[in-house]
Amino acid sequence: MKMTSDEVVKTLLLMVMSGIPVAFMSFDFMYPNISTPSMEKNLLVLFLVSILAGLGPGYFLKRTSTAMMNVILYVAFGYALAVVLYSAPYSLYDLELVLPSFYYAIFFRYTVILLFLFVLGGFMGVVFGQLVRDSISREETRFSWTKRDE
Amino acid sequence: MRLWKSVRRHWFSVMLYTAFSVFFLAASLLSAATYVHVVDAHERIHLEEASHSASILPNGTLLITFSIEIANPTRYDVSLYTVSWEAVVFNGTSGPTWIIPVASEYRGSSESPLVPAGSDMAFSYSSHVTDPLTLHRLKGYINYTVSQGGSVTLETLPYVHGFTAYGWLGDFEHEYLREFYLNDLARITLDYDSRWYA
Repeated sequence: MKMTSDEVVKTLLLMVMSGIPVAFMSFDFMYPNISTPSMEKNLLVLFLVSILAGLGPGYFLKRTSTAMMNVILYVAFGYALAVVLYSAPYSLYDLELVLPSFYYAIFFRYTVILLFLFVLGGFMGVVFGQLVRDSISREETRFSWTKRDE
Repeated sequence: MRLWKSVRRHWFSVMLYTAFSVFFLAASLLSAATYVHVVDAHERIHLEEASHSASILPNGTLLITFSIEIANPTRYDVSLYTVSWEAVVFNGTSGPTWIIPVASEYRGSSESPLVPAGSDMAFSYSSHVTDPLTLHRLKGYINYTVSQGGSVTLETLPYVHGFTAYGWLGDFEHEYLREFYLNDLARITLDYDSRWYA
């Protein structure tokens, strides 16, 4: 599968833009009491936002395979970003650890199951996004032919 | 250039998608900043100005006093749910009963004081020790020390003062049992033991 430079840039942009909600949802799931706004560990809300995150790649990327791959990419990127947010007080500000030992293990233990939700929601979002794009495209085509007929 | 053309063509969708992403970016940064402030608060809230004394009143009663301050320079209030103080003497010569409790005070959650953000709160305690058994044990300790060549009185006994305060930071509510791992994040524990500074 050969990608043009435009497609690569677009894929990277989409990866970053859809990865940010994934990062927030993972962080929020770990610390619902300090997050603003918090989804309060509501899995249905998380799933719906995952679908929304997948809409972008589905709508903007024409190839389904690229869009699906983009879901994997943005989930990985977002999760890595969540780990950065989670470790911010210690890695960026050199503060003393508050939570007990196995600091990162606790994070993975509580949030790793969300990855399935993000990927599943992302795939569904991709399908919806492509449906929306195709629908708009069909409508535009219909309008343009109608104009020519007139 | 093709990308830019595509963005201009789908400007409304791009705008919606960007707003969606920017919203979560702002939420992520805000939440991470709160997290940093909360962890920082654990380091900045501390005990200070501890002082203690023991004196004999004119009527012969032993008076033990202790005072300490909780300094809260952070942006969050701290609602204390347990505050306790105790003064003891460790008697290394009397076997199993080697701790002689002299005075103590405990405040539970029903009367939990609030330490407002950016302020200090002082705690002062005083206790008249009149219990004959306690005085008897203290005097026994003194007599033994004197018999060994030492010099100590009721006023100069090595009283050990311990102060502990537990409180919740800010308004970060969570489920105490189900989300037990958040307890350490939102709970402030302050400990003082006069032996650390002896």
